[in-house]
Amino acid sequence: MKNPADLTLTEITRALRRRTFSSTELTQWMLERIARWQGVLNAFVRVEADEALAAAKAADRALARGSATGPLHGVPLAHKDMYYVKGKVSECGSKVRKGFVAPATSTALARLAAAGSFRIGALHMSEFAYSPTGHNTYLGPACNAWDRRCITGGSSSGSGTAVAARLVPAALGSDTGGSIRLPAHFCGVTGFKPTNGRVSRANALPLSFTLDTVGPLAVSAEDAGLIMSIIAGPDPLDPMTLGAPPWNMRRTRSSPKRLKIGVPAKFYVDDLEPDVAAALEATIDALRKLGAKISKVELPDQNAVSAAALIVLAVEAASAHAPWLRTRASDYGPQVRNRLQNGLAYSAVEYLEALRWRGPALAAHLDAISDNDVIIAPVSRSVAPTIESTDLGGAPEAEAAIQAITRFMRPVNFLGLPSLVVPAGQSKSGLPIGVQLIGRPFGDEVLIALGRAFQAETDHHRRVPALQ
Amino acid sequence: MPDDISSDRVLANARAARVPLNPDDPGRIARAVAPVAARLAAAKIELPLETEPASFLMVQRREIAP
Repeated sequence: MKNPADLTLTEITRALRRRTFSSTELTQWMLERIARWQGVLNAFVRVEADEALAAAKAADRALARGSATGPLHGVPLAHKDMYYVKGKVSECGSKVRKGFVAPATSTALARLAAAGSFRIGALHMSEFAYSPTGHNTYLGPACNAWDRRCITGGSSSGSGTAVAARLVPAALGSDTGGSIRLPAHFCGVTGFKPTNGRVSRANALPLSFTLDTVGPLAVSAEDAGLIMSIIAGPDPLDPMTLGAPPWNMRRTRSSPKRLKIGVPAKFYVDDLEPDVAAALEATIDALRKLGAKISKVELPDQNAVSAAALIVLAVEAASAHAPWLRTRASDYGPQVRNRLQNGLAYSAVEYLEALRWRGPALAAHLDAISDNDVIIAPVSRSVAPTIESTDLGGAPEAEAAIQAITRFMRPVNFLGLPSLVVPAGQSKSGLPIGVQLIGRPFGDEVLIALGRAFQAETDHHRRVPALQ
Repeated sequence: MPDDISSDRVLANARAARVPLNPDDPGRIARAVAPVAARLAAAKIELPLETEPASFLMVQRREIAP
């Protein structure tokens, strides 16, 4: 059997259709790999081996009959444990929701199932999707597949490390303040945060109804585009998706020639670790060689945009959790409880001023980037720090540390922009470095096309950790 | 928006929200959020009277207008 760890999701779907291996063989291979590495990585919260094998056998029978169900036919996937499946437990990384049985299936998972994939388990996540590191008081930390002493990033911690270790070929994450992009950067995988409104959030755990987005972590940009082609689109259960354009797969294969890419003159380029700065420069050079036109841009005050994002997130998260903060505060981990309580500090007027500013702030951003199609930026100023150095719990310095890790994330969330993170290099210590390509509203497909072109010329996304 | 947040204010807000806090919490919360409030206050944002949260959608969807 060809080693599935060397394949992207797109290549796996082709191999299944060509019967290079069967869905059952693939699922057994994945279950063996999960069993081998789960104790090291803590990537899964549940493995559903029997159900996955039964689904794989059914997929093989259907393929033999010539009745494949869709583009992901026979592919086992796992997702962040916040996407509900009717009748299944979804604990959202928390003690508060221990034993919670979902009353309905999330639209995103229903669409992936309709495309022929099935679930092999559920993945680790930060408690209630409210931490950027991958620490979890209740579950213990997820560990980085490149170095188990390091964080995965969060909150889609299991998604990042599971894809990096090739325990699954792709996984859904969510991004409210960087929760897809940070694990993609720290774990060396491709991550895509879509434009707000592109993917339904229905029957997935909410954190901030203004800022939440659903998107994939995968091996390649092509894989991310494949997942997006399945999960994107209007859903009556999520009003934000109504009126958004349908996914345009043809546009994801367009040439990057003549694309205009802006490089921020400040904020995103201040105080980067040398390895991160070098990866960013190398990526800019590679994109220039692909025919993109590169120029400097002066963005509006990103500190103010980031602060507005923090206020909106803090208040909406506190509002969502207020019933449990009143009655079950001690069931939260200290850091998440503290952060939820932070949302109590702001007045209704302050919250609404921040929220009302969102439209004008986006207009100012679009004015500033002019006709640029893409802005290129780092994801974080450093590679993955250690679990120990970031294990701050409820300590007073935790909030400042979290804001430092998420510094380059929040403007994208506040402005509702799409952003693709592509692996772009490694540090001298062997840890991965990602770069984010930030698009215009609904310019999602342009980012996938650019990512595909970049990955056709580089092999950073093909690197698999040694898992020792 | 003020550029400072007091522990008294945090305590009053928490009471209004009916969320109990431990004695040390209001001070801790005030210290955690004050830098954020200060950063936004420094921007001196002035919004037209007519601006509402849904104005964001109008700007966002201009990009896909026919």
